Parts: sequence; structure tokens; C-alpha cells
Amino acid sequence: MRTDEENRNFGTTNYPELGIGPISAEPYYSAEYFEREKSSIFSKVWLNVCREEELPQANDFVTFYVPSNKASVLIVRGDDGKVRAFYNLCSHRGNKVVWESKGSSKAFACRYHGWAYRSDGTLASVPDAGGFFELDRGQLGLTPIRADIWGGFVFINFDAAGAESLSDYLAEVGDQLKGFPFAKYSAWSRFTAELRVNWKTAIDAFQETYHVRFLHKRSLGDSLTGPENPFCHCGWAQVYDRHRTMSVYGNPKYCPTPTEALAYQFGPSATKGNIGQEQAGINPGRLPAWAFDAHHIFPNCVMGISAETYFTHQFWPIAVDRTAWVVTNYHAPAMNAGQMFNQQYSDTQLRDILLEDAITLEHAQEAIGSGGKRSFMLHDQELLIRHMYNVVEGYVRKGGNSARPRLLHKQ
Amino acid sequence: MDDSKQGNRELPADFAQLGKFVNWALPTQGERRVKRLTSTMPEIEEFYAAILPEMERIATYLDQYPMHEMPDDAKLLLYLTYAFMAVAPAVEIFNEPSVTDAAFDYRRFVEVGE
Repeated sequence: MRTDEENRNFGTTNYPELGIGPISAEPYYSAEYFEREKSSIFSKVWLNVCREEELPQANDFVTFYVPSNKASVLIVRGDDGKVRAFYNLCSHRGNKVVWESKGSSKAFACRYHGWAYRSDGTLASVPDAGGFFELDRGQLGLTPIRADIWGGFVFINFDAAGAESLSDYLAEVGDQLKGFPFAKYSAWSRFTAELRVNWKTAIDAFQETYHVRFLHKRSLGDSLTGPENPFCHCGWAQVYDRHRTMSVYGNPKYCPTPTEALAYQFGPSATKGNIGQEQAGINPGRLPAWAFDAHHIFPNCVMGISAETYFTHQFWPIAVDRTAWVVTNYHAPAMNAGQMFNQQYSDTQLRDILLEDAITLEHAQEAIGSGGKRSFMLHDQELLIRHMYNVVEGYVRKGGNSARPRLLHKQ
Repeated sequence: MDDSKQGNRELPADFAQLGKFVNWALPTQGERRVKRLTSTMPEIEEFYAAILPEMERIATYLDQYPMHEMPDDAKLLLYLTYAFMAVAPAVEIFNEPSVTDAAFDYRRFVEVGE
């Protein structure tokens, strides 16, 4: 029988600046708080938007909408190979220049009046240009958004005056992930969904495994729990300046279903207890039976890293109670049918698990929205939620990150 | 849209006995999930029971082709196995087409890039 102290050994008390009391519920339902999150966080920090492999060749592009900033964004690889980001917005009278979500083009002509831009964003031509007054072509390219690449992930930052580099921003979580061969897993399967939840209600569900035994009792069975770990305690966690990492135990005694067993015989699994993983960039706590790591890259990205596969979540705030969710499952390109069986099963399993989350999160938000609870309780195992709460508070209340826990924690 | 959907709808001769399930052979995850959700459990169970014991033999058969150079009949067989991977949890875990308490419409998960 474990003592209460043993059950609270995850490390919350190692970070006295984060507190141990209840947290305010207000950030989960206050429209005013949400507006401050948009201006103090989503307009200021680096945001992970896509993989570099989504635009492999010169002139390849993708576009997407970032609702928190009301911005259509164009990411394009120039002739020089450099990946740049722009507001997808014509310099003439503001039409969206590129309407396709992806493609390849040496130049982008606006459909409204035919203004054309090169893939480096510079203005290429203006029809009937002689009729304009003081047309300064050098100043009339697409408006750039700061963009940089880390580990093949494209990040953007809407703060044109910001000085912090992407690698400084990622800091310890970047060090933690260093060496993981992201580019190897270039075959991806992606879905989006619009959830009626606050973006933090959504992300919090991926910052603890306390719910696994209950919410996922069907989809995950006892793959991550078992007699030695009945409440699905995490094996290892560390919180950084703004980001955080946790590692989840697998149950090596789990008996897979017939189809799971078939899938595993051809490839990896994010829920199987992997024994003795020593690969770079994974299992930082060197857990003996390890399933996956979840890296929370502030503010809205989760990377789930397993042996030979990984997945990402991005949570894009639309309104205080609406979030666009993008989930991508990454695989090594399949060399044979068996590997495809494995990947198809993995994609199905991920969606089934996340459907259980999606239902529950919308019910939670509906209840939270009443304001009937002014505070929430956090378990020791919910340290990552407590950390993120403090980081968000730092930005919203003080205009910058002030949580800054620097203590290291290992179990 | 994959041409095998419009074109040849015959499975390889070695697997002719699975021909009655050819309407499960859909090229995208989105279509396969809709098929799972709009089928009855008896239909799903019949499909599951027919495919599971054949999976090893199918893997061996398909291994003779490079992944991206499969003839239409082999590709159809491959899609049939993808559909099997999409519905197996309905039989093995949930005992219903969707996950339990599916107040959230699965079709709100919109596949991208298929």
C-alpha cells in the first residue's frame, strides 16, 4: 500500500513558485481573459505551424488561417530554398492573394486586380501601373511574418518587433528533443476538428494521464495502467521556463487485441510498453517500460514522441469556448503492406482515443461556462497543468513569462 | 480520387472469396470511417470475421509488389485491409460502430490531404 506521500511524489512541491492550492477557473471561461491571451501570448510568441517536408521544393507553398490573429498566412519556399511566411494579403486593397491550401507556384497573382508577387514576397507586377500615384514597388511586397525552422518544424511569430530567436525560445525542450529523427517520419495522416472548448480545456487533457483509467478504459484498456500503476501515474516529468515534458509508462504485460498484435508485428506502437529505449531524443527519464513522451511547446503545441513514430496536436483559439484542433500522426514511409497495416491501425486507434477526449472536453466546457465553479483542484500528477496555468498568468497579468521554474526534477 | 475506385473492382483471383466485401475497399480514411459508422454491427462483424484469418496471407501476397506500383486488383485488396484496420476496434473494443457514448459526431473529424 502506497502512502499519500508516495502518491504525491510527482514533484509539484519541488516548484514552490507554482503553489499547491486550487487554480482559478476564470481563464477557462472569461471572454475578457481570452482577449488578453490573444494579445499577450498569440501575438507575441513562436507558434508551430507545419513541417518543412510539406513544402519540399522551391516555390512550394501552404496557406492556413490563424483565428486568434485573424490572419491568413502564406508559407512559401523561395527560389533560394529559404522558407518565408507572409500575411496572405494583397498590398493593393487587401484581397487574400492565394486561395489554395497548398501547391507550387513561382508567382502569386491576386484574382481581384491582378497584382502579382514572387515566391520571396516581392512585388512582381502591377497591371495598368501608370494610373497609381507614388507607387513604391520596393515597399509593396507581401507583409512578412517572422518565420524560422527548428528540427524541420516551421514556426511563425506575429510579433514583428520581437527579438527572441526560435532556438532561444525552445531552449530546454529543444535540447530534450535533439537527435530525434523527425524528418524520417515523412508520411503523415492529419485531421482537423472544431471543438466547442477553450483552448486550455483542450490542451490540459493532454497534460495528465490521471484520466486514462476512466475516460479511456475502453480504447486504451490497461495498456498504460496495470496492477503496479493503477492510476496511470506518469513516469517522469520536467517543467521548463515555458514548456514542459512528461513520459508515460507502458504496461509490458498488456495483452493486445488480435488486430493490435497483428499491427505491432509490422511496426511501432505509441501505447506499447517499449523496453530499454536508448534512442536520442526519447525517454529522458530512461523508464524501463516506456510508452511515449509528451512535449508541451508553449503555447498550443503538443508533440507525442514514441519509438519510430510521433504525433502532434495544435490547438488554435477561435473564441473563449471554440478551438480549432489539428492532429497529425507521422510515420516512416511504408515499404510494404504490413507496415501500412501498422500505420492504418495506429491512425484508427489515435482517432478512437481522441474521440473519447473530444466528447468529454465539450461536456466539460459546457459545464465550466456556467461560472458555477470559481476554482479547480489539481492533483500532484497534474503538475504540467499547474505549470501552464502559471505561465499563461504570467503573460496575461504581467505581459511576459514570470513562472520561470528552473528546478530540475527527476524520479 | 483514386482510379481504382471507378475502374476494376475485382480482387486478385487468390482472394476471390472475399469479393462480397469489395464495397469496403475505399481509398481514403474519411470514407472508411463513414463506412464503419454507417454499417450495422452484424455487417461489421461479418467483414471482420472474414478478413482477420486472411491478413497474414494477404500481407504475403501484397509483398510481391512495390507499395506504389500495385496493379488495380492488389490495390483494391490493400484498401480492403485498411478498412479492416479501421473497423477492428468496433469489434474488439467498443462493440458498437463508433466509440461508446458518441455524442460527438465522428464526422466532425475532417481528414486533411487525402
